[in-house]
Amino acid sequence: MAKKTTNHTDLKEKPIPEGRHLLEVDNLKMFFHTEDGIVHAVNGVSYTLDRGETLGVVGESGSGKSVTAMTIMGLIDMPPGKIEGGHVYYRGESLLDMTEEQMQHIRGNDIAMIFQDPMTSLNPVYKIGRQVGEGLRLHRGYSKKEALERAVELLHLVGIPNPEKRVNEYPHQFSGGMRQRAMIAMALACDPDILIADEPTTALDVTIQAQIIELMQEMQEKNGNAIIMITHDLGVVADMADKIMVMYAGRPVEFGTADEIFYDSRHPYTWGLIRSIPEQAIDEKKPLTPIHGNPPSLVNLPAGCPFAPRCPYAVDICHEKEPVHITTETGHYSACHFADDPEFLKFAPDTSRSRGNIATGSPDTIDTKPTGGEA
Amino acid sequence: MKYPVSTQGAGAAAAAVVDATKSGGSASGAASRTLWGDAWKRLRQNKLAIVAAIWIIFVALVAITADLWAQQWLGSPTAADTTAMATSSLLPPSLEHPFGTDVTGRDILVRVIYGARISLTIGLLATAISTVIGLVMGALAAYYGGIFDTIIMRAADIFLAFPYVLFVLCLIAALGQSITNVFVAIGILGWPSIARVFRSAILSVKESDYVDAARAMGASDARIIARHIFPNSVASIVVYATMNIGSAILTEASISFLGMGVQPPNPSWGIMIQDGQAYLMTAPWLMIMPGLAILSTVLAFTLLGDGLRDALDVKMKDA
Amino acid sequence: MASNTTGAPLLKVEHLTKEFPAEAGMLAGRFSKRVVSAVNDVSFEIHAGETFGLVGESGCGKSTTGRTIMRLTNPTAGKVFFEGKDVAKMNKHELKDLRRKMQFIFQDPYASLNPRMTIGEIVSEPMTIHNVGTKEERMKTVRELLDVVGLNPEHINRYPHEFSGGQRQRIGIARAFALKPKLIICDEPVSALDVSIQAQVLNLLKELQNKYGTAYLFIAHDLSVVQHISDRVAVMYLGKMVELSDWKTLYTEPHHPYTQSLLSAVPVPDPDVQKTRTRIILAGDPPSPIDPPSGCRFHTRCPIAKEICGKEQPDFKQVAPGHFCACHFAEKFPIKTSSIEL
Repeated sequence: MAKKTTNHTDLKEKPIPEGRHLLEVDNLKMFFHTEDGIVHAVNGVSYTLDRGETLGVVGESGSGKSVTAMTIMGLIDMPPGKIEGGHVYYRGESLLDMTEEQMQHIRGNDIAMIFQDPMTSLNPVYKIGRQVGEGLRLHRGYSKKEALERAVELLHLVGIPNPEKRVNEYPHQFSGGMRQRAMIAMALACDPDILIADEPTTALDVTIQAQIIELMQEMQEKNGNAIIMITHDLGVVADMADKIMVMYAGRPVEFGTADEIFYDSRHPYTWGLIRSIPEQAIDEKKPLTPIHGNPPSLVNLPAGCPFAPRCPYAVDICHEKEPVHITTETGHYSACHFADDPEFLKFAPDTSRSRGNIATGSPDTIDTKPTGGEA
Repeated sequence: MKYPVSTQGAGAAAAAVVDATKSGGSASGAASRTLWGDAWKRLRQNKLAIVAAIWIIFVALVAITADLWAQQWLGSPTAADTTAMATSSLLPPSLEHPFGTDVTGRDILVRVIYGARISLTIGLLATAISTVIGLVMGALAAYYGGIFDTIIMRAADIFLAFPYVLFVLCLIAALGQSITNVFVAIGILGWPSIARVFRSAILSVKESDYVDAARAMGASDARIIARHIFPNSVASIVVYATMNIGSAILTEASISFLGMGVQPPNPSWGIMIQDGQAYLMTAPWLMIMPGLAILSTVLAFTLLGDGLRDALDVKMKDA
Repeated sequence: MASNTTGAPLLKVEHLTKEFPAEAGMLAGRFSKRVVSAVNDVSFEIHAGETFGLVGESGCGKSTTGRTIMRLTNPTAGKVFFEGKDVAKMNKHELKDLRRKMQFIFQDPYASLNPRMTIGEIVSEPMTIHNVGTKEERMKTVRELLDVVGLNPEHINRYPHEFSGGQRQRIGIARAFALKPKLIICDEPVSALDVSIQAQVLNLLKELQNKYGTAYLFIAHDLSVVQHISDRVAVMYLGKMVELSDWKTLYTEPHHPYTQSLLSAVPVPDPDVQKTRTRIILAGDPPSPIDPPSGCRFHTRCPIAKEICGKEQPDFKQVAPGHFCACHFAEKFPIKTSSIEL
């Protein structure tokens, strides 16, 4: 494990080529070949991400949101996984063409990841300080002592009190929130370009959840890294994401800025996700509007639009023809046959803007004018 | 594309929604399978375990049907015919005597076949005894805990602290030498490890929510054990008992080898090895043939147990 | 379903206290005096047909409260009355009867169903235990129940592993309703589910309540979920009840600073709202229940704590009809915590 300082030039020192983005995912497809059939886990995912930006990836469990991130990180076992098409470029370099050795250098150093369950992702037999400093020793060739010193600084940075003492403690001596803070410290140790957070707050209490989100935002302001935030709860990404990708059955069904997703959503699945969340500011309780049914099997995808069987608005064409992405000039796309029909978009849920509850400076932002360009 | 607002009745949409909720339970949408069915499917994919199972069935069939054909073909396994001794003593393996003959001129194959009867019988019955005692002890210790647990598990520790074969020998000496007492002794002394395995299996199941759910429904202790705890911990017992048959066979062979088990002229594999050791250099097949029988049978039980362990593990599903 | 808060309550919990030995293991409990104070002096009532929400962070004692009411564990002190009868004094026969009238829905839809039983066996089990009907009648009821909870009655012979999390939770709900109980303790029934599936299950619970008039004790850590389904809501912190009121007052006029911080921490799926509203982000973790802070247990994390908070335990006093709050400054409300000078 403990290699000498490698000769890799740090990719994150390399300037992003003209006209390119920090991370470009282009029509990425990754299928699992299992004995039950081919699992279409990642099916045509595309997005771009720049430094300082936050991308929210939202969807139900089994929608492929975590697998997409794992594919980008090269953490999928191949086989049974297999890249079936598409590209992933990080600073203009193709990640899919890199050797395992190169990827090991990328992981943790350029792109770091934090997971949902901070208990199982920390090794119970090593002290916190050693685990936080491990990346520095691995990627930066720090000595044991230097790494530990830096670990103390990092723990201090993520708001763990008494870091000098706590570096010498074991994960079980930390509370859930503290462990997630330690995970963030670990992920940020090598000052990565991109931080992928896979449901980082789902296992935590609400008050701790708020702390962790605030911490991630603070760290982002300080370091300028990009964040990919994977969650099943649209509420979590509401005030943190710049862009949001909504995934369903391994495909991105809608992609746009946070404003576009929340106030000008063009896909019934996104509407369903928004409507599922219990509203707080209501006078009378009305039943929630859930999305009926369950996500489809990724082996036997329904014909036509994969969401059609659960979509309350589905008509014949939805069961027959797979929708293409309909894109607006701002890059907001939706995989719904009717995304460009203003009449159809009137079915979208009420928002604070459409109700005019909140003074935003632009009271009526529901964009009903037909948009051009069908992709 | 225009959305056909008027053509789509709300009723049709709602019906589609209900369909979606109620259709297809499983992710794969495949027909219903039972857990045991799934286990069988997984076991079938384990070639080693299947070969082991076929071998065990073959040995068992040969042993069970031996009276019908073996003696006519190969002669008596227990005969002490002095004339045969002179003519056919210590013959090497040949077409007439595939495994060779022993010092008294008896065919070794037929003795191995009749030895299989004794070995399998002792293995199965001894394991049955250990399993029954072990299950009861393990269940009492785990389910009621406290003082039951302490007494039973300390007793098990004491049993396990004695040299096993020595303990079996002492017990046979006390009970008197007979085939029955051999398996009774092996069986009685084999319970502690089964009790341990069963106890820990129960403890993990006992903590589960569905056992709490049953308690909350007002289920009696007997029902909880029979319907919830037993079915979910039996897998580990099936696995352990399968492997235990192998080790009981081995124990029987050891004590027969030491002269305290099955008595001559009954053909036990252990005795045959003991008989053969004097001729190790001149007629090695005397030892090799029963040795191979022990090796292959014990190995088969171990491999089958291993296969069952993988096949019965529910946790391997639903990752 | 609006409850009538007059008349004898269905369930009455009085000064319930539950302590566990702090060290696990055979000998530890006997020699160590240290205890985990999981529930401390909690009192409330639940009326027939009502939904009573119990909210708090993990380790606040909300689940222990539910389990103690069900007598899955015995209380250290205090009393639980169900239909006027002391649960702790019930004999075996009465306890069985109690468990017919009181059911439980678990958090984990994977762990709470026996993997070796079919759906039919699982849902009919309460009826089997209490000898309700013949086998054919029970199976008929199971089919009806499956239909009511939105599952295909044809799947009666399938096993739990063939269902998704949301569907399993429906199976658990069908089981809880099999005996038409008067009270169901729902212990975080939706927190393991996706948001979209949560809404399905919450609607189903509400529908079934309207149909059968069952009362719920609804335990959760998510205030927005609890508020949506409850008539009255109680907030717990570190084993103590800190606020109790009807759901609307709790939302519009939360008195306790902890309630306010919980409310403000709930993420809202609306960036404009999220950016403009004031958020109270509590510092640190909840302290350990082994050695809870002196005085008000919340004072170590409270944004408005004064000297008195560390010294004296605040009373759980009525601040308005039906609205109770345990804070030394409860009278000064409704003042938003965020506007109080720190």
